Amino acid sequence: MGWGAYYGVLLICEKYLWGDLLSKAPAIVGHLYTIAVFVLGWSFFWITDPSQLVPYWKAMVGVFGATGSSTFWELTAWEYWPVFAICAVAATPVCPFLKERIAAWAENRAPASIRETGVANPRHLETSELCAMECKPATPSKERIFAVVSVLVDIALLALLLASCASIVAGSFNPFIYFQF
Amino acid sequence: MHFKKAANTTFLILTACFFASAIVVQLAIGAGFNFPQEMKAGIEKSELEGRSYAEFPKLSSKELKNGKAQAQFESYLSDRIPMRDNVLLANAALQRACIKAANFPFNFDAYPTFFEADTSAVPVDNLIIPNASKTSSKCAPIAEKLSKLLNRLAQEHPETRFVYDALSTSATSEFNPTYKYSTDGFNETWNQDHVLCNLTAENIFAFDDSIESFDELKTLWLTTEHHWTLKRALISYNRIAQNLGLTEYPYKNPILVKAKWYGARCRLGLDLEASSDFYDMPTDFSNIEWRNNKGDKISYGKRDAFLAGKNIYGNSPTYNVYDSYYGTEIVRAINNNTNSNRSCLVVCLSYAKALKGYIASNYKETVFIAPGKKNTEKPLSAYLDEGFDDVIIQLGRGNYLNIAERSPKFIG
Repeated sequence: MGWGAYYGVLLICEKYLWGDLLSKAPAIVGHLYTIAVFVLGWSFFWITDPSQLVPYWKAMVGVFGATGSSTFWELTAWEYWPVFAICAVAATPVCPFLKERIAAWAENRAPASIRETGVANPRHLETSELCAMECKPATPSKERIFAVVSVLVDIALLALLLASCASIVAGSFNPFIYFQF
Repeated sequence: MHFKKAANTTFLILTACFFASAIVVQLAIGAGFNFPQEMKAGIEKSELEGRSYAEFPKLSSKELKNGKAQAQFESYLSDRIPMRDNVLLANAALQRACIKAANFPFNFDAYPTFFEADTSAVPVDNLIIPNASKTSSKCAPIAEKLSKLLNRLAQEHPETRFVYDALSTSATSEFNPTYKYSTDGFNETWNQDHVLCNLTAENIFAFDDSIESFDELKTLWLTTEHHWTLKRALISYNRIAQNLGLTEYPYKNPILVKAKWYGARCRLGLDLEASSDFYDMPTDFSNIEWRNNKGDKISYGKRDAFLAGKNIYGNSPTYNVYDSYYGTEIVRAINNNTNSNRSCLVVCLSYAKALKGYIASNYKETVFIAPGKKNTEKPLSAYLDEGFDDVIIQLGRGNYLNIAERSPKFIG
């Protein structure tokens, strides 16, 4: 309920108070605003005891120190930085860009710029466009190589699907120290 | 263009294989096909997780409405994934590789074996250890209540001799490599302040049985689980024996029980890379009758069979050797080969499993209760009213909460 009320109030405020201001502000302001809004929104799900909400928000902005009552090691956030790094790179148009580079090489043409190949390009919002390796290779040898690359991409995507499935299955890991058959 | 067709066909075949595999395996299991053990398809229990797999939920409108049926179905489904154990291990290995890379700039001695794991790997020393346990505001009052109760009961039973072995384990020792990275960990001072200081009765011999160094943790405790080696167990036993005038057993002529096995921490940490040798001594306890809580005669775990020369674990890698080797059901021991008429009550944890024979060899009758592991039906005072000559209590710092939760009657 708190979550619903939060977004309800926010929508009204955006419509009547600061919506226009936000739309005129630089994009970075909008990004930061969105992140702050959804991170705060998640706290309504995470904290079930309302009396803990304010201390939780305080902790989020460092009122109790950078690591609060825990140590840096205990907070475990450090374990995830390689994942964050991969996610940060994957969130850029690197995949469409690479795809365009390969296609341009196969078709003997100059590659499009990274701005044109970015995921922000509406053309790439269609998922089949984003992942499918489509082009017209200029020579039979390039066609062969392109086909191999296509298969490798498919295998990589399936491996990603397998890894995702494994991650879901691992969520149900439920061990007992002592055997309880 | 035929290369493009070949690529598309390959993709379709790979995708079909992926989705069809789960269906084919389930159909084959349904048709009674026996998969090789290595595939672990269609089995009903997991050695790795130490539990039986979830059964198909019993559907009722009540459980469908409250969401239990859906949750149970999810558990059932995830338990039916072919090669589930291997999937869990592979996923954990992937996460561990990430954590290992993440640790590069920080260079922590120990790091979790997968995301959110309460088990850590110490690669330099080839250890798999539980993360250092935390004290809590609930734990100290329970420890104080138990120790004060014991002290009062000791005063009420002046003819009974009490020994309190205040254990620290790998999880509750300040020499646990993750202790320095944690807050509010157990330490020797905690033991002194909340337990030992209350045990002042004249007929109680209480001693701090802490791990004394990291070297001890590495060499005298099993490196892939929380239990101790027999060598370390006998150090504690001999200290108890000296005080009660029992037979002392020096650690000698050890025999290797199993060259390759996976400890409880390997299972919990989903990390089977570390190994630990498991040794026992061929001490003869054949004159002792072991009984379970129904009064039935049982063996001393798999130990009897092993000493009789049987290949008790086969050739497959084995989990939880400590537990299965010493058994989990012994609650009473009757010694037919002693002139003593004395009896002993042992209040213990799983650590005492290695010592049951050594303790029982000194008494006509020995009763073992584990209030932190299994529910005990009676309060401690009722056990003492049975008139035991000696009472040995061997408890760890981290077990007081378990006692209150699993055996609420025990402390009263």
